[in-house]
Amino acid sequence: MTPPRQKLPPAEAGFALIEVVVSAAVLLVASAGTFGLLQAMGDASGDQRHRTQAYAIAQEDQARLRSLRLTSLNHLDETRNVPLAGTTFKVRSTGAFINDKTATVSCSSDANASADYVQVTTVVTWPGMTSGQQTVLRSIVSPSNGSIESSHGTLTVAIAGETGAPKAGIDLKVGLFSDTTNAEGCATFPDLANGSYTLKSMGEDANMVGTNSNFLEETLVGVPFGGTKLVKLIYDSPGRIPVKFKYRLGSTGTFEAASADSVVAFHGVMKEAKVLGTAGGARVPLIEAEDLFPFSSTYSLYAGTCDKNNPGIGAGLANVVAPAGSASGEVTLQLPALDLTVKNGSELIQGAKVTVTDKNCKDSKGNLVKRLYTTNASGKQSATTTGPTEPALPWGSYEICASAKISGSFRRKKSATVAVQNLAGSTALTLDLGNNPESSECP
Amino acid sequence: MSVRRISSLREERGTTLVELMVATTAGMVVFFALTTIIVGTMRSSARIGARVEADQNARLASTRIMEQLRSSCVAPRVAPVRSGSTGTSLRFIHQVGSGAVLTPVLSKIELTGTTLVQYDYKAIPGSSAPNWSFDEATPVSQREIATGIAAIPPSSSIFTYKAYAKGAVSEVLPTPLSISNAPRAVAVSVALSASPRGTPVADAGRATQIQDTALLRLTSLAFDRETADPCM
Repeated sequence: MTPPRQKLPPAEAGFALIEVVVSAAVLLVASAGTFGLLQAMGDASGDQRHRTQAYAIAQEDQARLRSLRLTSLNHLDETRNVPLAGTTFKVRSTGAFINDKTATVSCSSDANASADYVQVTTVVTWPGMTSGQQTVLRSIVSPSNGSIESSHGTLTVAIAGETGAPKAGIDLKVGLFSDTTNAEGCATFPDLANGSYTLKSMGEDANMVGTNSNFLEETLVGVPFGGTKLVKLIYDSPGRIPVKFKYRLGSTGTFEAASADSVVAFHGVMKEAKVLGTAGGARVPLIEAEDLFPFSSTYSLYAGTCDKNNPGIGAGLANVVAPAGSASGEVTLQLPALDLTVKNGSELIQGAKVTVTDKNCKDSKGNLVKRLYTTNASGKQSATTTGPTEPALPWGSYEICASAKISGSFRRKKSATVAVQNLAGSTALTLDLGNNPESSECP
Repeated sequence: MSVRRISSLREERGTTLVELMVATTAGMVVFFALTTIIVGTMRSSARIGARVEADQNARLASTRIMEQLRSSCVAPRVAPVRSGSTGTSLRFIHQVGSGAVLTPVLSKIELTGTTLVQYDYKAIPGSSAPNWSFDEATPVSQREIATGIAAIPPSSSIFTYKAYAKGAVSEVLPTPLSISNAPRAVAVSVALSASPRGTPVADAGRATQIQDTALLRLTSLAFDRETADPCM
């Protein structure tokens, strides 16, 4: 009989078994490596087969594209699936007109620049493809005599910044066709029927504005009969000007902070001034005049909504440059003050409704701009019955109406047109609801 | 020391047998695993090798045919594909050179069994463009393009001939190409399946399928045309 196992010397127990187990482990590791190698070989073989097939499919697609009319290749961008040997290949075909002179999508300072040939590109991908290993074939198709409608023309758009540098990423739309400017700031719309088009340029995605300080600009363009029309536009990163306000009562040298509802920014190149803020809306101490095209010369800035609010000179007008992609220093505009008092005989009226109508400027709906106030305990115009007096108004001419309910019935008093245009002092006005008032409320 | 060693050896007699049995069993398991791995490796290697060979066959066959088809416009308005071409037999003229008009070679690429064979015929001296005549009695050269070639099921054709219809190369011409249809063939599609020469292991996916098309045109279609002839 064998002695009990527990009596074996511990150092010698299971020695052969351990050897086998270690050997098996080593073998497993080696096997794993071998299998990995086999797997890699299989993958490479499969990938090679897919590449061969993808290349042939790409060539086939190039042949198909070459068989099409050039007009069909214009703006072509289509994707289709091609099943072959159990694999579904995705084939994307694109066409773009190229200018031979620049070897880029047609665009040049030369007014006679034209689209000389079409570059057709085929990209073939397949499921499980190694990233970035798609098959790409690119070739050109030259327009032969008669391959393009002779009455059609080409529209080329070149977009540069304030310094002349090309601007990429501006979205363009002409009729049904869309394109985006490339790195050279160019986009081409070949083979358009001759006539007039509205070219829409949109800089939202590129965060750039046109010279009217709008992201969306519209330009009327004419496409010539059998020729090329080059349109040059200017877009750049918008600048920003923070605007604050101040006023003074009388001729005192002490200015108080004021609030305003809108600011006008204008540059000589702009077709129309840009109004920031809301005419007749909430009055705020700071208005950011933003999304302004960064002209190298200055903007004219003044409070208000139309050119009649422009003081023309003095502290109510600022001339400031809007830096590209950043903000200028803070600007403070002085507003003329209307020193209004609403009373009933000798009694100051608190809570009266005050409507200040700009006699010259209209809002976006075509109505004269109205600013609404109430009166505080001093009978002065304010946002609330207990708020501070807000005498500041944009430079302009106004009709002032004050009304209040006194002894159960409304009393209203209107002023004649008052010019609030004194920056050296203030314009005083008293409306006495006890002196021959109308019996209704101000609008 | 010697007394303790003798005592110790006496105690190990039965244990050695158990160890030997366990080790033998484990060894057998390892042996079978090793054998399986080796067999699997050999089969995989054979399968991969066969697939690579099939890929090369397919690529070689396709490239040879395509290169010649794309050199088939030897003169303007001369249709390269000849009548009598079928789904497994392509007859066309082609040539490579720098002249304005080249004297072409008539080639017939034919699938015989699973072998693609090309026969070349020389133009008869004295015949000229565009009505070359060829001595088709005896080929000047004959060569095997590839073996293990077949059509891609369910089709039984390797070659497909297409003509313009409604502004696109979309009309598939019936085969064998008639005398009236042959001059309309502006595109030839080649779709084939290539298998390796040997089949050392069973592999349903060993054959490579490939397809390509040669456009027999020099320019794109005019904007106001619905059809066009080859080599224009």
